[in-house]
Amino acid sequence: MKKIISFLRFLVVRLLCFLEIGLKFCLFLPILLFMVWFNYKVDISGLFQGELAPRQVANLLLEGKNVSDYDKMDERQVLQLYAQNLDKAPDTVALGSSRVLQLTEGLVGGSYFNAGISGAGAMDIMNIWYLFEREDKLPENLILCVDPWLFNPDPDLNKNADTELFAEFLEKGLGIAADYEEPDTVALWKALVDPAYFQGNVTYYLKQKESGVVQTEDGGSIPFHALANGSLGTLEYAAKRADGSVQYPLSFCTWNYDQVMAEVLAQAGTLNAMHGFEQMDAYWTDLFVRFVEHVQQKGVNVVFLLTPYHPFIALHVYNNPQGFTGFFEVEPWVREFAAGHGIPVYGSYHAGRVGIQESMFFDGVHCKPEALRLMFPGIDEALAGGQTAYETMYLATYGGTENSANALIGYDANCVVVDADWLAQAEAATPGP
Amino acid sequence: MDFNTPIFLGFFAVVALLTYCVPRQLKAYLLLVASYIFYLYKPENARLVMLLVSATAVTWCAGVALGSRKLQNPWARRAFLWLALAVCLGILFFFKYFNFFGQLAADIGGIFGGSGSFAKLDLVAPLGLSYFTFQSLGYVIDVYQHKAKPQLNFFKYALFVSFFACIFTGPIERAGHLMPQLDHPHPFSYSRMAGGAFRMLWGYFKKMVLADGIGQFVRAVYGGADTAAGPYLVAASLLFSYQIYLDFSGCCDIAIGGARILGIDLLENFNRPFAATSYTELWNRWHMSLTNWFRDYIFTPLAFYNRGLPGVWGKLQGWFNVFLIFPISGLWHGASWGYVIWGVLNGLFLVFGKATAKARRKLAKKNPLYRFKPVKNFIQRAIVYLLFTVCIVFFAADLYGAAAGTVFAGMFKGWGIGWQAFWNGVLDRGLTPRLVAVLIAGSALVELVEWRGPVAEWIRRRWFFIRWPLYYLLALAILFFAAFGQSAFIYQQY
Repeated sequence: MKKIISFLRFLVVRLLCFLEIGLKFCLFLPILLFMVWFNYKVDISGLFQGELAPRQVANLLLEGKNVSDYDKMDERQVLQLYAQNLDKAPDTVALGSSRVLQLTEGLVGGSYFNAGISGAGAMDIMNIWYLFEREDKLPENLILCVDPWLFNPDPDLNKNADTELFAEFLEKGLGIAADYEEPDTVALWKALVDPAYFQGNVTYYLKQKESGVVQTEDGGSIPFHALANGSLGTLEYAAKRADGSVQYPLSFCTWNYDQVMAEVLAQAGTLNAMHGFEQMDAYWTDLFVRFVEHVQQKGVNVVFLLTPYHPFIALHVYNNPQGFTGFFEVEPWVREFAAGHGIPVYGSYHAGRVGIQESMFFDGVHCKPEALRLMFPGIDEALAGGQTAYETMYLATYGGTENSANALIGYDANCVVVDADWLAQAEAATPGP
Repeated sequence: MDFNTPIFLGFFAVVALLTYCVPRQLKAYLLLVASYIFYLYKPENARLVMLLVSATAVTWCAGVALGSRKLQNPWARRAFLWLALAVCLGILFFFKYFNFFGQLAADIGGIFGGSGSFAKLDLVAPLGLSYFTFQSLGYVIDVYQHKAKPQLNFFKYALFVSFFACIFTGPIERAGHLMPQLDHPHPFSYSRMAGGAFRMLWGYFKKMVLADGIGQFVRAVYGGADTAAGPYLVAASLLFSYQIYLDFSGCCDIAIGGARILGIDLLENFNRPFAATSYTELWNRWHMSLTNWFRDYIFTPLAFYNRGLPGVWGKLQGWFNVFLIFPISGLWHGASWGYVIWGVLNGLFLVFGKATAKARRKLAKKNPLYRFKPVKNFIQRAIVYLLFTVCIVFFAADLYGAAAGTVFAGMFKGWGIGWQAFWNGVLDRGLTPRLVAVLIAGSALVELVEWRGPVAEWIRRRWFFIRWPLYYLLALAILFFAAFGQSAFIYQQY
């Protein structure tokens, strides 16, 4: 009995002692927690918050500010950080290539973010969608700018996309087996409690405090800064607006007809994204279908937007169809698919179909915001199946012409040049900014 | 694994926890397993672990034989002693000195017409070789001289040789001190644990904040010794003396503190060496476990065998015995002429100090400055520090790949630079104003606290509101200013 009591006493004493030691060590926890918090917030190597430069852009966008030097941005990283740090998802998100980047909040209405990126291929579009989905920041509406090359099997179109993120989306989003491996998070956890990383963060933080300017890890300058709304139209460089859309430089926006046509000619000569596009690729078409159905299953309203090509480009492709035949299949297929899935479609690759004049193009592939205003009625109207006044008047006046009618099933490249007075009248009848 | 790595802290926490969970009788076995895991963690040690095992086995056998009552024949006893000496010193010599002495022999041969060339072997000595061979040798000699009882339990003896807290950097333990603790470790107490933990924290602060901070400047200056101006070389040399003290004593603080948590008291290795007012006193306060080892196993036997020499011959013999220890100590640190010269200089300074002690005492009485004790102490300490620095330049040169001759020659050049240029040069050499302030304040704290006595006991006597801010201060200083993952302990390589 004595032995048992002695043993129990031993156990209790030791347990209490351990408890005391544990409690005393807990008094050091604030230091550890501070280190973890500081490492996470400053994060000089961008392990948690992304690299410093894209982080600066994302932070400014999240603060509702326009950001300078769009051309120098790593758009994919910016969007990743934007989605990651977003408090509340916008009502409407637009996805697509640079051909959607002129779609502004004013044209769409409501809370809106344009998540288009230059040269976006199918992988990019799905990846960017997944960034929002992964963060559980899904919008109510998705405006999907369907570019014809999304169905082109050319692997170069996706060369800049994040293949690991895409594999993750295929597996976790679409349920398709892919070579996705969960990233090693141990290294991240280690960085959080790494005192050497903490010291790097402290040095960086103090340097930044002293200089008052956001800098890179090695003291280099970060070009991105906030811009006032009033100055956007006068800039000599491209800027990203707070809504994600892009303001081109003044010199580009004010190109005369000859300058535009010179660029159109050059683009018609290359048409990089569509070379070898003999027919719509079965794999990418199937993936597109699954993607859109997946988005709809999430309860998100989808609207397709087909932004037009310059009439000269369309004419060129029409006259030289070798190697571009797949291009002609896309629009009819998209319209048929949309009709089957209850998705409104706005715009057309063929400018004549929607009455977009040559003067409404920046170059061969990018139309101006005024063109988008004429063919897209805003998200609420679009979801209700409405048309712009311009579109209604245009179809009433010119819809019976060969050019316009044929665009529904194929391509006729001629642009309808409408009467100037009629155009002014129709524009005036179309509300918008 | 190095003491200043996270893996060691994790390892130590697990060992400490297990040590308190197992019955006291099993503690030694647990620590033995932990010690071998610690030792084998470094791949170069894993390859040469048989050296440790062999040295352990041979010296244990020798110890058991020497301690046996049946073995009374003096020749047989000597044979066992010489066997242990031959094995331990043979291993040490082969791995540490073979190339050095081989080259020396070849050079001497070259003078007498030989080729002068020597094919060096690709030898990598396992870490801790100098420590565990000296420790096991000390044990055998103690048993031979009946100063210690033999350890009959092989595993406990193996722990004595390989105890992880002191195998890489000492202190070099003595059988009479450590062995009884392995049989009967101190019972657990919160106060011991807290004191030990603070001693470890203190050691980390000294090593990772102060020593490594100073080391950044010293490395930069010695790395460019060819072009560095005199003020930098002098400053770096003076600072290196303090750096090596902080580095080594910090390491010992971690070892002693860690062992204390595990219920074992290790020997103290330092006692504020730069508070010494004479060179002899300095060596009684610096690396005490090694100094005492040399005293007990080299100096004392020499003095014993040479006793009774008449008059001045006896004095000279005594001085020679004192002198001899230092070149040997230099060689213990490393097989290079730099360490030998370091030893010779130290030996000369010490002998000179002893030889002139009387005359200096007489002179001191006439020195008006010496009437004020603080002034006298300051001057004497400054002289001791300067002499120590003159010697330590050879250490620093060897460590940072500079030529000692270049450093000494460079010290007399470039004194025309102004204060501002000097300060700018300091900032260019790895220091920041913030770090300089931390180094000054930290060094003052170290001197102030260690002046009050052993830190583990000192901190336990302090009030809660002094203790905890100090804990936080040290922890934050380490967090903000320590050089993580950059520098191993200097004495680990010896």
